[in-house]
Amino acid sequence: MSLDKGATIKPPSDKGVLLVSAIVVAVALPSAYVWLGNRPQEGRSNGPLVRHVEAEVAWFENVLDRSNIDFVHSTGPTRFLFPEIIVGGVCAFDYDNDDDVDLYFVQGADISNLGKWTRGNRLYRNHGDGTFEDVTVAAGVGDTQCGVGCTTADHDGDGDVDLYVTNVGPNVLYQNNGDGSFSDVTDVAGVGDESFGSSSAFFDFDNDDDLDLFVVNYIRWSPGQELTCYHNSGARTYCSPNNYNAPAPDTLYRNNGDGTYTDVSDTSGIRQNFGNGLGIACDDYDGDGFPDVFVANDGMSNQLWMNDGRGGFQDEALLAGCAVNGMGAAEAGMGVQNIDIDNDGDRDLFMSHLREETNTLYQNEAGWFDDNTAVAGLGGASLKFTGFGLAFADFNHDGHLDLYIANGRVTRHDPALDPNDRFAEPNLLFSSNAPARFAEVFPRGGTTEPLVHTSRGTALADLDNDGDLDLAVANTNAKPYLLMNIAPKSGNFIQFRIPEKNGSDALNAVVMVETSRGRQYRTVQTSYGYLGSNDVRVHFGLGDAARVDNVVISWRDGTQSTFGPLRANRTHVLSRSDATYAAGFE
Amino acid sequence: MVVRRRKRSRIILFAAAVGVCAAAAAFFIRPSPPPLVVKPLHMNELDPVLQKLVREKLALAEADPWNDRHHGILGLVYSANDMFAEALGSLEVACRLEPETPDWSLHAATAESKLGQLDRAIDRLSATLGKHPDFAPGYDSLGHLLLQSGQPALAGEKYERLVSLAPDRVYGYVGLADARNRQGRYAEAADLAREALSLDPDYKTAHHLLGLAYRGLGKREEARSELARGIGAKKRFMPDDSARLLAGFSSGIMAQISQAEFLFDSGKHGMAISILAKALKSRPNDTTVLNNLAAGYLKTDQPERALELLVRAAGIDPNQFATYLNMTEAEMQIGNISEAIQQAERALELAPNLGHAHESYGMALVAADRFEEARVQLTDALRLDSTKPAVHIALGEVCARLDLMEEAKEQFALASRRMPNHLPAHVNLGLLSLNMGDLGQAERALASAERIAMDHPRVRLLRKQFDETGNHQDRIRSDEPR
Repeated sequence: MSLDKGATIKPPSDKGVLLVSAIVVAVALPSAYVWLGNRPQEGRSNGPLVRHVEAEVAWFENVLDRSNIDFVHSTGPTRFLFPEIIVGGVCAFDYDNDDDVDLYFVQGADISNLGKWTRGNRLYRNHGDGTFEDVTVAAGVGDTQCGVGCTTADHDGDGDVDLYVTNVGPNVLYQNNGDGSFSDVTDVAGVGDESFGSSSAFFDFDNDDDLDLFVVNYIRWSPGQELTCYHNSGARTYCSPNNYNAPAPDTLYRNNGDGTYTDVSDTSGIRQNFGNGLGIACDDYDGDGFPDVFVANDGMSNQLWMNDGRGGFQDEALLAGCAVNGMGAAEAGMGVQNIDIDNDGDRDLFMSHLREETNTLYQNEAGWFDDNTAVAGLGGASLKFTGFGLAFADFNHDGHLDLYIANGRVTRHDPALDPNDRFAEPNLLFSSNAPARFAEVFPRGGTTEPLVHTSRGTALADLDNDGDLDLAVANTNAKPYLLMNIAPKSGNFIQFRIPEKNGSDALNAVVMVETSRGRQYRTVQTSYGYLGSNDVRVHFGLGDAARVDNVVISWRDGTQSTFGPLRANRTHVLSRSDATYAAGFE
Repeated sequence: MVVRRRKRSRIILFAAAVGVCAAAAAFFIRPSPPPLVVKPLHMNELDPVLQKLVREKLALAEADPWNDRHHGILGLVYSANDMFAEALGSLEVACRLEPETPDWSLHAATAESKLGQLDRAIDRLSATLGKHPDFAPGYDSLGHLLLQSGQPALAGEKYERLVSLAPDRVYGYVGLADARNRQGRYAEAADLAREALSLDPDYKTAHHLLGLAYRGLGKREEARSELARGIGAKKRFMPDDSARLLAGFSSGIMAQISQAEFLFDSGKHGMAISILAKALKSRPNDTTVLNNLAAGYLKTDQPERALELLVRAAGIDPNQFATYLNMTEAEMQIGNISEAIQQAERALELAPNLGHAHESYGMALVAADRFEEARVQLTDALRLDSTKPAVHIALGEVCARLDLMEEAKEQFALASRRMPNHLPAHVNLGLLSLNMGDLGQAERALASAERIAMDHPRVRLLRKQFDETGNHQDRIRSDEPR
């Protein structure tokens, strides 16, 4: 469509064509050629002119076909029913405690026939040799509602990981029995929120050593409330959530410590304010020892629920600077990740957004967030894509965080990149060679051939236990991607599993590693990105540092443990029980 | 003789060579073919109105392909309807045909930025401004692009130039305030944002930028207040000569609805209604258009016309809750309260989880003086969506009618906390607090109301009542035995 920039062209004159023809021959031909042949000009790129890095080789290989994962996401035939376009979560967790990360894919449903469709969610057990096995039936986790997302954590503190599924309808809590099977304990636990749930997260907001549950809800929707919407060009498309004018309040469940929960949404204050919620990132943003909650809203101001330590929350997003972008505009928040991208010890926020908005980096400076998207180099490349799942990780072990973003449209735009899927877009990969400075990696998305589908949730995990981080990406109405990390490595890594005394992962503990190159920080967490959960192990690229001099773990009760020095290129288990280095395996 | 013959043969040879060259040139060189007229990728999928408009503009461009204006206008039609790839193609042709018209370049750069090609857009606009150094809208767009690409210092230079070119317009001050905030020069940013607000006190982006500047200066409460005033901010760009044309070309149904919404918000109700009426002609059975036009009639106190459309919409799709919500409002305006309640019940049946449905039902019940039931519905509305201060106020008033004064005060207080700049919340809270003898709360509410609109009649009334009550209290105190 785009034409090359040629010389100014004037209409030809009939007069004197022959007389001047010998003179103009050298001028006119190239001009004519420009118009006829669209010849590229020297020194100009026809592709998008973003600052980018040309990768010599791919960073990821999609190995789905070799994995025995036969999951195909489906929401039935397209009827422009709103949930169709936003669902698709994936969780990465070790359900059988065999040290391999397994995968759980959330299935959609024919939304016009809610409750009558039976494909259900799927759990795939990782054999550790690159293949997976569908164990859904044996595990008993094949919920058949219209699934949206999932999250994982050891909710009952018994040392195995449980699973919470959000739906367009009642959510489900599957409690791990420790023998490869799960029990649906939703009713007993009292966590079957019936709203249109999206992301969710377990975290201990009251520091009483059991995990509470925050459920983000999207909008109040039912098939009877569907509207008819069109793209500006007139084509039928999905509505914006704001068309429904029905944001749904979120839910906070406090764990009673006996397998049951109490809904404290009203008393805690988290229903004072809400929007069309999609993303969640729990962390201690003000460093007061109590985890706070950030909720990303679609087309409305975000909330930053600051925990007062007495069971109450106050929304401080507006003053903190992460409610709206730097120009004051509410953006279409989809996915979100909390991570210290500038190694200054506090957690920054990065959110994925709609086409024509940038994805936005809110950099935390002493409790105030600044929209530093453009300076970080994360703005331009995202303008023409709609971002959902995202994952910061040091994929190439150079000591700097990289970033993967899963994209897919929510409305129709031309040109369609896949004639069979008008919403498909390629995903993006950014690399970094300095804190908070990024450049897009080409080939786009880090695979030899760009993968183009309507991508949604991502799960970051070391699926093959080789010390680098891989990705599972859920696609709407398509197979997922299973992206194994094959990036050329420019350094070493270190990875930790951080259990609490009872063997449960120490969610919301903060890990600081110190090497000759400086310090890096990560939070122990699973719920970030979009509609899913990630490998609970914390991973650091170390560059040329061969060891970590010092590891300091700040536990969520405020105490600290110090470990080290530790050898690089291993996964270490740093247990709180003896506060000493327990074991490391290659 | 030989020399003369040689000379003659040389002349003949030369003439022959020239002739051959001319013939060859005439053979090989033909006039440049006309510039490409950019067509939509999917013409048949376009909205019928838009399709007609595009075909009309295409025909003009094809009939006179060397006219830059035809390509430029075609590009604007594409731009106005979010077809940015087509827009860029057409506008690039226009730019090449007539580089002396900076508007085409500005809109081409906008299309490029929408397509994610920031660097190209910056290059293009920089080159244009090199040739047209007084083209003010170009500086606004270039400044914005530079901010988007992380170059606040350079953006600041462009906005400084814009301020010098258009000192009585907000655009330069707002852009420069944004750049200065990003550079950490908060005092300057605050001055610039205040300057912008002196030109346009309602510009939310300027309030937001002032809030960020105050935050940077450590003025926490002032920051909180300004940031709250900035909620709902949308960046506006300085219009160029083509801006009016661009707005008129929004032909897709959603674009028309959005444009009508914008016009309603700007108080231009007549224009908004005429856009929707035009949309209805092309889609006579579209319930979305019927409902939007009906809503327009309701905004302009024409409930009968609204009801006529809504009955039509209900006949086409009897299960669309929005139709019954609008019918409730129409019947209320007409004064048919029992009909309004029936329609509200139907809406609630279709959308039981929608706060708006409970709100609508509650308001109809209020009109029927059924306050107890109204209280239940409005409470449900707030349970489902607590973000609307107007519902808190309505519930507060219902509670006051039911003599539940503490509950009423709580609702007004909640409304004022949720929306610190919502005047009725503060006024109601102040008046009720006065009635209840809570002078401290009344004084705080009065202060908040006066901060928002000192001269508003309701605020003046509150001030008067407060002063009278205060004097009365003083008198009581002074009459008390010592």
